[in-house]
Amino acid sequence: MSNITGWAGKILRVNLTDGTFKAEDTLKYKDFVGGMGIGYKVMWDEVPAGTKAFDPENKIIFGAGPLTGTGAVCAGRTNITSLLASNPYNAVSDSHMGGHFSAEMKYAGWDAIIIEGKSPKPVWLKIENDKVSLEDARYLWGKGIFLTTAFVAGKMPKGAQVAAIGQAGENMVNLSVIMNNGSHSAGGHGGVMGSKNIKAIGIRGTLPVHIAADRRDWLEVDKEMMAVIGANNNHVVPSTPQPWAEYNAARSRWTATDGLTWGAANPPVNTGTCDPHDLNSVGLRTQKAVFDHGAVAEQYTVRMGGCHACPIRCHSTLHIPKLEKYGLSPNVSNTCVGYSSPGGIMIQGHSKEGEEGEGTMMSKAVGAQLADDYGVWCNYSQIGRDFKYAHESGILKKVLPQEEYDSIPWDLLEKGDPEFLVDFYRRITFKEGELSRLGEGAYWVAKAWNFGDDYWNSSSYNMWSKLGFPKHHSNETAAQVGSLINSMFNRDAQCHTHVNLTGSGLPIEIQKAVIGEVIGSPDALDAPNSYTPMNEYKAKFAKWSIIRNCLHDSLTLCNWMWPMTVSPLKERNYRGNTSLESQYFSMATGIPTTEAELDLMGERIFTLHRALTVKQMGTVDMRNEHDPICEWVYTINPDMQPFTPGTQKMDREDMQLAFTMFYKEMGWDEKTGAPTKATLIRLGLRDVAAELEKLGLLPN
Amino acid sequence: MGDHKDINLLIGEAIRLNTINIKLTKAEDLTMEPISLKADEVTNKLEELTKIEGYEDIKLLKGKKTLYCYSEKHMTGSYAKLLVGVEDGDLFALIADTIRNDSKIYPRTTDIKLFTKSPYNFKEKELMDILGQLMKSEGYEDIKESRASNNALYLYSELHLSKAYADSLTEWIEVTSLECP
Repeated sequence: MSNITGWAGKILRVNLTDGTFKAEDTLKYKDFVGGMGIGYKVMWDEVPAGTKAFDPENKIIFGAGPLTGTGAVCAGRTNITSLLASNPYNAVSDSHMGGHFSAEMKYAGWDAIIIEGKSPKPVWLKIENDKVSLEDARYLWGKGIFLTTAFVAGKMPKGAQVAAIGQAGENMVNLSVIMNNGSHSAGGHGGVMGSKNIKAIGIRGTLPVHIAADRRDWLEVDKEMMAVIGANNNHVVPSTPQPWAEYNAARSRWTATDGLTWGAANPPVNTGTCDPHDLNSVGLRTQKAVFDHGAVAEQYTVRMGGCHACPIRCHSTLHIPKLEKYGLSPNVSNTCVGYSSPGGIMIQGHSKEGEEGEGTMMSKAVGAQLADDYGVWCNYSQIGRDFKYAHESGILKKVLPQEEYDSIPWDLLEKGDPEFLVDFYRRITFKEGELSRLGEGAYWVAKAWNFGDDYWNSSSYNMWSKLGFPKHHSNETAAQVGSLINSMFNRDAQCHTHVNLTGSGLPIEIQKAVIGEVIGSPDALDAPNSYTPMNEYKAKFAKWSIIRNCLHDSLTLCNWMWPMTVSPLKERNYRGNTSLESQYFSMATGIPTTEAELDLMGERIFTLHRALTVKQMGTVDMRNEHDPICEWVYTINPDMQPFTPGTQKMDREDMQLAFTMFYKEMGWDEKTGAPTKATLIRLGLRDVAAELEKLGLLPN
Repeated sequence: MGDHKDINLLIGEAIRLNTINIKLTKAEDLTMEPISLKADEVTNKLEELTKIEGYEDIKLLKGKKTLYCYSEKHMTGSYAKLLVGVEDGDLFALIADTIRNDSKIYPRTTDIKLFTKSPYNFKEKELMDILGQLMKSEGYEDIKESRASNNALYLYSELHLSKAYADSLTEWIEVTSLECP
């Protein structure tokens, strides 16, 4: 085992039912890379079809990958795989968190932690290298994530990382998170930990992660990576004109500019003109607080934080003294939807008090603190839209008992007072009353409250699938490409491969040329809001986007940054380098692997996800049972026809063709969208084919 | 005057230093000490310089008032053109060129807030006055307004975008993209 590089070599299996631990060989999973891949394989092998998310028979796998902890750039993600309670079939899904947890797991000598069974009493898992124990957590049960994290950290050696659930997870709220580092959350699986009576994992590692390559060669790849990297989401042009930049884009996350500061730092830090050749300013490129909250947030920005081995600091830490008015710490950290989702619950707007944008920022900051401490997930902001629909349609008034309805502080909501969120999140977390059904997720709440067709069919509510998940970089992002990607998973697609290109800020002709070099034709991509009929290159683009996403969650690399499709460098004609993952993988593991060979591993992982979905749903008819898109996609802009500049409206026949072409690219049955026996065997999934055949779940 | 190599070095370094400080070098700047070229020899001297090995980064841009120089080691041509536009003071052309370029190459509509940022640096009222005049002026008939559902004002060139297309891009940039971060 001492010769293993990249991987730590061992997987920790924790049986909560009998309190036993076992170390297993990682390399039996090496064809599945790590992280997500290991998670799927364990779920396939060990969790019977029909198991529900909160059953003791369900398992939850925390996965790192062969690049985690090696120093590869942006390798701080932790992949968590389990059944998803908010999905109507409780189908398999992944949640992911940034932070530092997975790297610490590698330093402790573990590539993954498989947690199975159910503890008879609340426990937390303590790991110090190979010393593993289950600790009494009865005194932590009922506590929030912040206190739990602090307490567990206090019981661990300095430098430990803690992943924990809040009361929402304990109470098996479907929409609940697992969080590390106090604000890096993985949405959807908190309740699985709660169902198993495990409150937290504290982990400390002091072991090295070995790499096979000569460190000088590794450094060369690091240099190449740092040359092509952009800002958050790999946006490669600045948001304002800059002397070094040929292009700019207002919505770029490369927000740094002279005069824009981390205003609450002492002294304030000027983000400045971050010339891409100046590697010492990479961490200043993204002033995310002003991106997430507007200009008002600059004065409250203490610093930008982020994840292990990531030079892109996309996680803002704010000091807002007014938060204390709500009984909260004045210090809040988060990014992106962690902030925007609580803002979306304020469905009647935000307070206009204070400076412009301050009311909105306060809602987001208050909500982020509450959601993070309770451990409530948002289903990619859908919880707010579900609340909005139920409220505006009058359904809420009908389904809530009068007494409960009257107890809701509607006056606070109307005033835009963030105090409303204190009440709202408490109800969700502790399953107080009928309103708390919103925490079950869109599918279940729509079913219980009998949401009308207008909920599913209106673009106002963003529902992508009747399986209860919203759009996430869908038809508005490369048209059919984003649409296909959004239909393939069992929750909102967390794929950013495609949107990192379309959001890069580069002119369309450069984007098309770049993707043409990667995929085979510039026809893979259309100009924004002006798309053309389906073609095979779009199917290839969708496939490439997904399998890279699966690879990133297996290696583990951040798909909010990777792949490096483009760069900020004019002298490179803005080309990135899509071979970097395979270079890092080869050097870390010592297994020479080409880009195409690594992509094949991604294809294997994604196809296993599809097979798991087929098995759990008990049908091969993915085209009609799993992949359909809500109606609004075909009916928005009633006065416009598909393929007209100015609409994202999709064409029904064209989308059916898109599915057919995509299934073909994947080697799946073109009629049903289920993996064929031949493809499963081609991908080394013979055992999967055999089991599906036995279950009658292979397409004819 | 020293030999040619010395003067070339002086000119090149002066231009580069100005560029690093985000400034263009005007032709007349080179008539001053320590370079002290004669006014009638500046243009030829600069044109010669750009052809000499080691000075390929020195680029010239002809403005309405004078000739400008910059080093492309430290500034892109597109940014230098913006600075020329600011120096020239032809504000209509400066704004319209930006809008037309945005509509053509990205394609996108242009948030008017862009013009309040560096290097444009218009004050809000000044900008609104200029835009009001620009859109009534001959030669700028293609510049049109597009408003998002939150009433934010964007501009586009109908030489490159239809109104429906422009409106959809405006709504995406200003509203919808923020709902799907």
